[in-house]
Amino acid sequence: MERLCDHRSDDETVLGAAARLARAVEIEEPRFGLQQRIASALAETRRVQTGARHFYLRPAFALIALLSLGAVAAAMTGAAKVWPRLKAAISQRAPHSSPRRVSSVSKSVPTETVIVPSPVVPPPPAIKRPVMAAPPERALIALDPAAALVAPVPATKTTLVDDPAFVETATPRRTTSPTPTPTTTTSGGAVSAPVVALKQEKPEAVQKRLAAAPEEAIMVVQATRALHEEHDPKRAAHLLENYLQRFPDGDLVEESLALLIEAKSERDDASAAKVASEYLERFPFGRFRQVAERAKERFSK
Amino acid sequence: MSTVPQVGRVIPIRRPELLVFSAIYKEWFRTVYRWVRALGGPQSDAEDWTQEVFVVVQRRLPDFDGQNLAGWLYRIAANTVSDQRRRAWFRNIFMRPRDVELESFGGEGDIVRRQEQADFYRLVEKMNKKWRNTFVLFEVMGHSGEEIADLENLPPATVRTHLHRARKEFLALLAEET
Repeated sequence: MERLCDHRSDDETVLGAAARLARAVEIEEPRFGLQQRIASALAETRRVQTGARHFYLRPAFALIALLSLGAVAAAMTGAAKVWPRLKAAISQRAPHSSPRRVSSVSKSVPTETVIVPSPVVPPPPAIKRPVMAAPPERALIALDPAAALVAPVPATKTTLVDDPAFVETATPRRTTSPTPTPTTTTSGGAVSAPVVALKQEKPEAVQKRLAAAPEEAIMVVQATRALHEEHDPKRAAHLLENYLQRFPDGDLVEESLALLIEAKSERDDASAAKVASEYLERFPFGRFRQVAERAKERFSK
Repeated sequence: MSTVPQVGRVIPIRRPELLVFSAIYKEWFRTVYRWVRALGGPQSDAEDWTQEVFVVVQRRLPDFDGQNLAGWLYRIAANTVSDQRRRAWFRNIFMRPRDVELESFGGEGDIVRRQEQADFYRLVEKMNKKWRNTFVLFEVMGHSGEEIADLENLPPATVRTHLHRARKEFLALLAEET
């Protein structure tokens, strides 16, 4: 096909006019120096783009560096604070076997607890124990069922106190009971439960843990309060009987039976002997064996 | 120097990653400038638009497959001109279109020639976009049908058809005006 500009007729036809228009269109050469000027502008554009990319990367690198420093500092500070407590907890828990439910309720609160063993109750014999008897760690922790819930398993420091003088000074801190005594037979023949003395226990913390405790534990705690703080052995006995009826194989059966013996003994109820017999039958080597034997002896006469 | 030094030599580049922008710029600047001027018309700001083309070339060069360098550059130039003309159209809604710069012309002959250039591109503007660029490449730039086929990535027969219809349309538009 021939180009319009190559059409050589200058007639007045449309084709001639089109050829004239096409010949008029000439593409001029670029101006002198234009190529160098645009090259400089492109080089500048490239430099600006590279610089801009680095400009946006700089704050990102700075942010990453700051976050890394913060993480390292937090890790070092946290480790310095946590490690001693972790080490103490590991050293305390190492000799224990799997914890029971009662102790798991209260083991999370790191308060200082002073456990006062009864001077009357001798240590259990080393001979074979029945299945229902409490394991050794439980005997240390849950001497008193209510205290086992209220007072946690010591996570940091546990002090065993054998000095009776200390017992007399430490015991009033925990309870408002006028005569909180260790397990012994009182002059009137009443039997009191072993005592766990608490230090620096805040009421709101107690309420918080009680809210998270299972129903059976709450029942026993209420019975303990009724017996030791409200001095209402009748209500305590009622609560404990309810508990034993609802949870005949519950975790706190041993403690409930001991508390029920104490409640009935305070009311001079002869049925305490029946409860004591039941206790001795179920826990012949239980921690409250001597209490049960004394109650049985007293009310069988 | 030939008007279209590289067009028509479609030789795939075996290692396109070795293409250097400065070499492409040095070899193809004049051709790209002429494409921009031809496609944009006398009212185009060919210098700025050519710079825009090479900015795009610089940015997309790592992605170039090396198959058809002339066609790749032409597509970038054509798209840049199209974008700039669209922007100019929006600008002209609010601003008076730029007239032919008569004051820079030397004499009466230049004035007539510039007016004819303006008339030519006014008719080209009215043509179908499908073959408008093909018509300009053939009539203004002087590319052959085969070269246009390589540049626009079209079969030569299609290019010939486009050229035939484009000329028919151009003559019809000119006849309407006269």
